[in-house]
Amino acid sequence: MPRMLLIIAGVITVLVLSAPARAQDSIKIGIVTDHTGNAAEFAKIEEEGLELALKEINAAGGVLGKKIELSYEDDEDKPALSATKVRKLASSGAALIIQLSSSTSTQQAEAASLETKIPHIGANQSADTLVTKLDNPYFFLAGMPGSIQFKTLLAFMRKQYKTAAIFTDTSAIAQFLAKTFREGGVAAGIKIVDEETIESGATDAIAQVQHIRNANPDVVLDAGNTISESAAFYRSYRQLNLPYPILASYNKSIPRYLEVVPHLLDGVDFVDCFDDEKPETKTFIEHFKADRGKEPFSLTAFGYNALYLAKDAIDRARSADREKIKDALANTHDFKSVIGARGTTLNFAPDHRAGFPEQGAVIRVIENNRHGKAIFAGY
Amino acid sequence: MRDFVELMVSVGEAGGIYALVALAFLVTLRPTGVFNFALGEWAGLGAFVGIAAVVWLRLPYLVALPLIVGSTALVGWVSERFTVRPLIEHDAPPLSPVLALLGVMTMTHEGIVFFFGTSNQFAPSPLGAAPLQLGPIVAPSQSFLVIGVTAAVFAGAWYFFERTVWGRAFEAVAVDRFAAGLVGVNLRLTSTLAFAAGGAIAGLAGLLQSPLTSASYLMGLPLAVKGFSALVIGGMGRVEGALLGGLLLALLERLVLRYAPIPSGYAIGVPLLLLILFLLVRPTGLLPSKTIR
Repeated sequence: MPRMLLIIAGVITVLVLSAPARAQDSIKIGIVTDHTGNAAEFAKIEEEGLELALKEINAAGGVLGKKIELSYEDDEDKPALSATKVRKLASSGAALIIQLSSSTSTQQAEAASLETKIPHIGANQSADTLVTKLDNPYFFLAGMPGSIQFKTLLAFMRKQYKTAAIFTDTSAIAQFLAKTFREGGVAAGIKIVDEETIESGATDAIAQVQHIRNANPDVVLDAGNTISESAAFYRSYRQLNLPYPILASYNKSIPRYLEVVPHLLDGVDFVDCFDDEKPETKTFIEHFKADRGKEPFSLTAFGYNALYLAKDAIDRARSADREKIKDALANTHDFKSVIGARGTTLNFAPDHRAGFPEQGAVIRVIENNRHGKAIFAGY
Repeated sequence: MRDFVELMVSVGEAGGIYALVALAFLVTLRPTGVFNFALGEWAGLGAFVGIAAVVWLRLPYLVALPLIVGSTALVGWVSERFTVRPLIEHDAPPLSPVLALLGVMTMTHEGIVFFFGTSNQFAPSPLGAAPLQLGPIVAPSQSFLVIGVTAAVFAGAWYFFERTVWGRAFEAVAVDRFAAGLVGVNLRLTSTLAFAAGGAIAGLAGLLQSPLTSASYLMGLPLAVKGFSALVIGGMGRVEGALLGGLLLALLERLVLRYAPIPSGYAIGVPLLLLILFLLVRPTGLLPSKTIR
């Protein structure tokens, strides 16, 4: 019996002593993601891009001669939990954090990254307030800010249309988008002749589409967010055979819309940050298709982009020290990103922590139930 | 005229789904006296089981249909057997089964998320995607299917309650549970069948809605609200009331949305406001129950 106890104690000692040794062989990056909440569908897609980047980086020798190790935490897209997860990852020795959940959760999580002084990359979020509400020098937004999306969209509209109708739903994001369309449209000299809302759980939008038909706009602006209600709207729109072109927000870059109402979105123009003619993006698409056997899109690219951005900062910092990584991130120049229009790069500075290029948003068209080429860029 | 015809198809389609959920509430409520708010989630479950059967397993619709409706009937049977019946037999307060069923509602919702995820799923229509033309009316084939199935289910339900011994037994339990037991009606079986039938009808409603909007883990609650509202409008005592309530609610929604001089964002709430006013004037609904006839 004493001999058995000695063996067990020996095994435990070896395991405990070997743990730091293993940890030193890798650099840990914390991933705050959403596996169970409202952003789960999107975060899951971003993780596919992140995992491809991890595979490529580690196969090429890692960073600073060490492998990258990802440590995932599910924040359920709940703001308070998100902050807790950042603290947990900070105390577990992560060199930096990449966040894949929503803007709301990321906003709350920023308080924790500031408190624990850990570099924090927002991979995909679009709220401009993430870099204005809290003066957090550790946070860097790699996602496409809403303001840039709308400038591009309005520039595209202004060239062709004088009147517009808006379609939206009752979700907070859709209401925000509709407000931005309304105010931005008016500022750009476009007259908003009708605004229609579809309620949660509606089976169709016939009455709303009839209103649009009567208003006879040059274009319909789709600010819809929830998939079921968008499906009901597009079904009604096609049923009544309305002729007006539709211009949609970045939400329609998510392929799930194409899957639930096949071909009903054909011909719709939408804002995106993914230009498949950009050389870096082309390479990413080829790699992803070879690895996963399917096409990536902008959300996948956000995850991929964020891990390469982190690697680039650690390389330039020549250390896994958080302060040095933060300084390196704040001095990112001309990072060749797989997101953004061709010819654009990501750039950060201490006083410019939203790195997406001002001219980086594009307008794409849905053709034959697929996201087609970029037909307009910048503003 | 064109607008009005288009709206009437929309009323038939949405009103049919509301009416089916109202009927599910009714068949559960009448013999047991229990409001089962889990029915909305059971409708959502019907939609997702439909996708599993038709899209994933590629079963023909006619083979899948009994499996789909049977699965939600089974959920109804299990819920009655293991949550409602023990509470009733132990003389729990009247609200206890309602609370227990709210727990079942949450479990069903979480079960859908666990097994099917939070992504919306494409649900094909058994009649295909092409629109159908009936005289001057052109609409998706699914709209006509909803209207036809609703009419058939209500005709069957009316026949069951009005013309069969089992239907009479259900009504007897609804009128006086104690007396019905004394004359030999099997109260346990009646209660079990009521929950199973409610589950089956709710599952059918979800299955019919899914090709219109896709299947979503969030579709249950709005269906429960609409179905319950339709039941209250039509009256809680008659099969015809559930149908009338569903159609009237859908008609009201669409007329307000289309013709009221207010933005659609505000018009959405008007039918429920009218519902409150209606209840103040006529609390028993349009068709009074047989207990007070």
